[in-house]
This record gives sequence, C-alpha cells and structure tokens, in this order.
Amino acid sequence: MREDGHDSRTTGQSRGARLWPVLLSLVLIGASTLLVTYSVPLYRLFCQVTGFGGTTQDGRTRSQARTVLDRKVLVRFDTSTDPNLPWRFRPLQRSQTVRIGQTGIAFFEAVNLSDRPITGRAVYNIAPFKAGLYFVKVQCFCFDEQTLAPHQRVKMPVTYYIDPEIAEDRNLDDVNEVTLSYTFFRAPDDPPAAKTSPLAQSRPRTIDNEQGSPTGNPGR
Amino acid sequence: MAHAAEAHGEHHHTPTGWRRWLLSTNHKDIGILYLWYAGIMGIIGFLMSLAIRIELAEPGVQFMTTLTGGDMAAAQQLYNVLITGHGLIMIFFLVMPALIGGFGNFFVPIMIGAPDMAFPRMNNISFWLLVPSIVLLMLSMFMEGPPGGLGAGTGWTIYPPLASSAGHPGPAMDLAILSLHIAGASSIMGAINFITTILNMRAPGMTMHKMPLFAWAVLVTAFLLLLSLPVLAGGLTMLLFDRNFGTHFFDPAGGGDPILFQHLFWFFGHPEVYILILPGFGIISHVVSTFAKKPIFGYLGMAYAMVAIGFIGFIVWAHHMFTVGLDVDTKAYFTAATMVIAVPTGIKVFSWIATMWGGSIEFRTPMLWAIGFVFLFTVGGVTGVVLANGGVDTVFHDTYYVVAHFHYVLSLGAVFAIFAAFYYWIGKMSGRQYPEWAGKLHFWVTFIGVNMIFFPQHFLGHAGMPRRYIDYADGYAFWNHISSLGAYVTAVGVVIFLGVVAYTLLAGRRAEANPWGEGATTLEWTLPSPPPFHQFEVLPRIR
Repeated sequence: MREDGHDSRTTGQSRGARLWPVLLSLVLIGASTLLVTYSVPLYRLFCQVTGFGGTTQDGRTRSQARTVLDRKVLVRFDTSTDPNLPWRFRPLQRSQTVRIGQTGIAFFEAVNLSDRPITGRAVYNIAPFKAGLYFVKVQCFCFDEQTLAPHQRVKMPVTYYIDPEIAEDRNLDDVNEVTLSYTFFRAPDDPPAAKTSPLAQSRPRTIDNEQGSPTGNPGR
Repeated sequence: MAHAAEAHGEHHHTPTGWRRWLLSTNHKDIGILYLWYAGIMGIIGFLMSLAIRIELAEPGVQFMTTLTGGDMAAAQQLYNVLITGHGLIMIFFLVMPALIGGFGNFFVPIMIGAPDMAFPRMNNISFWLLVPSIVLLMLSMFMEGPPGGLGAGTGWTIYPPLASSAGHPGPAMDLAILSLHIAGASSIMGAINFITTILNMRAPGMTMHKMPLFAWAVLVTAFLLLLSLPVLAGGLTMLLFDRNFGTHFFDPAGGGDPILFQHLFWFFGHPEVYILILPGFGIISHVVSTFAKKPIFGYLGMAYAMVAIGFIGFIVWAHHMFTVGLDVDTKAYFTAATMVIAVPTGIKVFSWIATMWGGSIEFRTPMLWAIGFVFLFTVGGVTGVVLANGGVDTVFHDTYYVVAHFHYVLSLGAVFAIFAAFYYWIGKMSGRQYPEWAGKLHFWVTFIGVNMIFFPQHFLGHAGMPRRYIDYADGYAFWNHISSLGAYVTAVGVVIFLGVVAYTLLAGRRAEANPWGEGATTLEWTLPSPPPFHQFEVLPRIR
C-alpha cells in the first residue's frame, strides 16, 4: 500500500482516505443487521415458496381451473389444543380419500368449554413436510381468528385440494398419504382466563402489534 | 484517533499503577488484560466441566444433589445451568478473549510492523465491556430462571421455547441475553479495530501477501465477527422482545416459529466456530514453521484457505438443524456444502505436514502442542465429515458423538492452539522463559487427559447416549467412568499449568529477544523480550 516508503501516519494521506476500512466494516455490519431485521418476512416468504416445514399453500387467490388426476391421496386430520385454551377441538372425520386435483371438504368441531367468550387461532402444517408445497387450502377457519361465545359449539369447514403439479415432482412419488394438522392457540390479544397455568400467567399477553387484522395470519 | 500513535511517540508517556491497566490504550497491555481475563474464565469454565464429569462418573444423580442438599429438581437445574455456563464461558470468555483479544492484540500490530492498534481507546472499551458481560452471566446463575429454579439452563444455543417465557420466565434468561449482547458489542468493536489496523497500518513493504498468517487469520476472523454477530444480536433481541414486550417472533400462538430462532442462531453459530479456530490456525502455522526451521509450505494457499473457510462457513448453518424437517434436497445441499469445507481445511492440514516434512524439527513445548493440535483437530475434522451427512446426523444429532466431535476441534483444537501460543510467546510477552520440562509435562498430562475424556464419548454417542442429561442408562457407565477419569487427569494438567505460569512469571529465567533461533522470522522476534512499551517508532521496512 505504501510503497513510496512514507509513513501515512505522519505524512500526506487524508484522514478520510485512511478510514475506508471503518466504512467497509460499518457497511458489513449494516448488511448483516438488515438481513436479521428482515428475517421474519424473508423466512415467511421462504416457507411459502418452498413449503418448508409443511407450510400449506393459500388457494384463495389461485385460479380454480385444474385437471383432476386418477391418482388418489388419503388425507388424515389431526388436531390439538393448547392447554391455555379451554376448548375442545376435533375433526369430524378421521380421514378422506381424494383424487389429486379434486376439491375436498372436511369439517372440524370446536366447543368453548368456558363461561366466557374466547378468541382462538389455529396454526397448521402438513406432514410429510415436502407435501406442503402441493396442499392448497381454498377456504379455512384457520385463515381468521375464531371467537366462540360461552359453551358455543361450531362446525368449521376446510376446503382444499392437492395441486396436480404434485405428479410432476419425482420427490413426491412416494406420497399417497398426508396428514393435515391443526393446533388451536388462544389468540395472543385475548386476556387469559382466571384458571390457567402459572407459566402462562407470567407471560404478558396483552400487548400485540401484529394481531387484530381480520384476515388473520397465514401460518408462518 | 489514529493520531494517538503520534502523540505517544512524542511524549513517551508511560502510565503506571491502576491507570496503566484501567485506562490502558496500549495494545500490549490490553492484550495482557485479555489473557488474564481468559485465564480466569478458563479456570471457572473448567471447574464447571469438572463438576459435570464428577456427576457423570457414575449412573444416578450423586454430586449435584450433594451441592443442592438433596433437592433433585434443583440438582437437575444446576446441571443444566453448568453445561450452559461451561459452553458460554469457554466460547465467549475463554477462547475468543485469549486468541483474538489476547494474542491478537499483543502480536498482530507487532507482526505487521505497526506501533499500536488503529483505535486504542476503542480497544480499551472492547476489553472492559467483557467485565459487565461476565458479571451479568454470573448474576444470572443466582436469579430465578425456570419456575422455582435458579439460572439459565438452556444450553449455549438458548433455543426457544425453553429460553422464552414458556421455559424460563424468570430474569436469569434476560441477564444471560444481555450478557451476550454486551460480549457481542465488545467483539464487534474489536473486529473493526483489527480490520482497520491490518488494512491500514502495515509497515512499508508489508504487503498483504507478505503478511504473517496469524494476521491473516485474525483479519478473516474479524470479518466473520462483523457479519455474524449482528445476526446473533438480532435473534437475541427478538427473543428478549418475545419474553418482555409481547411479540411473537418465536411463539406459534402468535404466528411465530421457534425454528426461525434456530436459523438465526446458527447463521451466527456456524461462523462462530470458525471464529474460534481460525486464529488458532494462524498460531499453529507460525509454531510449526519456527520449529521445523522452514518457511510455511504453501503460504498463499494457507492464507486463502482461511478466506475460503470463512466464506463457506456462512452457507452451511442448517447442518446443525438436520432434524427440524428440512426436505431431502435442502439436506443434500447442506451436506455437500459442509463437506466442501474439508477441502480448504485439508489444504491447511497437509500444508502443516508439508512444512514439517524434511524440516529440522525441534520438539520444544510449543511444537508439541502444535503437532497435538494438527493430530487432534484432524480427528475432530473427520468426525465432522461424518456428521455432515444429513442421514447419519439424524441418528447422531444431540448424542455424545457430537459432543466428542466439537470438543476435538475446540477443546483439543482451539485450546491446544492457546497453549501452543502461550509457550511460544510467553518469553516474548513477560520477558521470562518457561521451564521446558514443566511445559512438556503439562503437554503430555493434558494430551492423555483430554483424549481420555473425549475419545470414549464417540463410543457413547454411537451407542445413542443423548447430550444434556444429568443421568444415563447403566449401559453407558463404563465409558462415562473412563471419561470422568480423563477429566481428573486433565485437572492435574491444569494444576501443572498454573504452576508453570506462577514459576515463569516469578522466577523464570530471562528470555532473550529470539529464543527459538533461525526458524522464528516474524517481526516480534526482532524486538527485545518483553517489547518496549511503544515499539516501531521508526517503522521497520519489509523487503
């Protein structure tokens, strides 16, 4: 760098010219900070594009024109309920067999077991995870938060189909069964009931800036 | 701030007493502070691991219940807190301060012919931030973590939901997070300082391609720190917000995903393991070259192998997460990319061997540590290639095989590099030379001890023994017993080391400027031992 033999600390070179490694460092730190700042939307995008972790596809905006194949898939339904949510939640059928491309409709039942209205939201995925890319939900109770009056019982539909593109993906040739799994959580902005676990009470659940939008949050 | 160097040169102001250390802006004094700090932390971290091995010496829970007065739940939590503390302390408060802050601060400016670091005052705060950082971590051990338990027992990876308010609602976790934040800030400032120093303050004629490999190693390490630490800081901040301010980044109830934390953590965490080992690579190159009395074989290949390792280190993070449900193509990619790291690492190992090949090798203590490093790091590297396979890792994930692997590359790799550097440079730093026989005794006792600890853990992992548990099935008893005996042997080694340090500093014979002879060619050997408070007032000229 200093082949002229002069020591830059005592001669010529301006302070600005000597600070370029600092600027480089700050740019790198900035780039890294930017990456982590946008990690949530990037991760969500990544999951939706790749079906990572069994993320299902949102069919509300898709064209409904598609071919129906002869190949059949057994769709199983699985539910669980967070202990903080005093609901009973179960599928009304254990499984369905649908042809690929054919629209299926499944029903789930939720019952509010408590004496007060409670809002819940369901998160979901599909197993095996690699099938997430091809499992399309046209309509789902999980797209929105659900509020149940005391002891109210509701029957909730899910309309779905399996994308015929699945036949083109050699990785999924072995898939003839998928499991659609739901877990119902108490909506984060719903105040906890009097009787919940001590761990849940210690968690501040009243502040939230992401929730409250009527469209809900599509999974990850 | 770079003008500070001029001012020192003119005034010859030499502070004394507590001002010399607390207000220090001298790279050598700060390096010494870092080394003392790392030494004390190393002893604390070692005592924690000793407690872990005493507990695991036999099936059942004995030792921890003795410490907690018979309370089993408290004993289990204590065990978890000890493995967490051991990991965090060894990584953030032993290896990084010793290799980067200690030897890096002391020798990088000298090796490149600079009078000091570029930002001496920032250097000072980099060190002193580590004090509040460790205070917070120690405090966290005495605060409530999980309901009714003390301390953060999450492992160094602090995965939610165990680390979120679901698993650790108490303030212990917040203190640990803040401790890591502060340690990260310290490292970032140190990294900026090293980058500026190395890119800007090399002596006339010291081109990048003539620069000693230790300086190269620290430069690459500094870039890794800059790129990876902000991601850790971001992940930790999100965790802190989840815990205290009602966000749901990692909480599925609010649409979050705990797996996201693992991605963020390992995007930092994998480069971090190269941050720990790269400075060691640099040191080993110098030691091998010095005692083989030959220039390092394939200098440019060695330098750019480190650059390559640093680069690839950023694109392999998900090999720590093979069991989270990655699809087969993703696993294939991360498996292949991880194995690619073996190529530049192999270049380094074979270049060290080629440096020794045909050399006039002198088996002084630093050389023993260096050869031990090459041998044991390679063993750890080979088990790393095994674990890189997504399919194999599904079986080995979170077993003692993984524990054995990363202790071979870190405990037996990075720590051997620290000891090699200690014996190589203690005469230069303190002006007093260590007793050769004691150094060799320390090496052999430690070499036998650590291999006794960690080699049987490969067998335990093969047999399926999981990590992070206080107890194990009776079938694992034999090799666990051997492993614990190894820990006691290593403890003897630590005592010998403390004796060597005490004897050397108090009564060691005076070291000449270059005790190693013709093989030691870097600039620090042109200075007296110890070097003057300010060196290179007339810059050396490198031809």
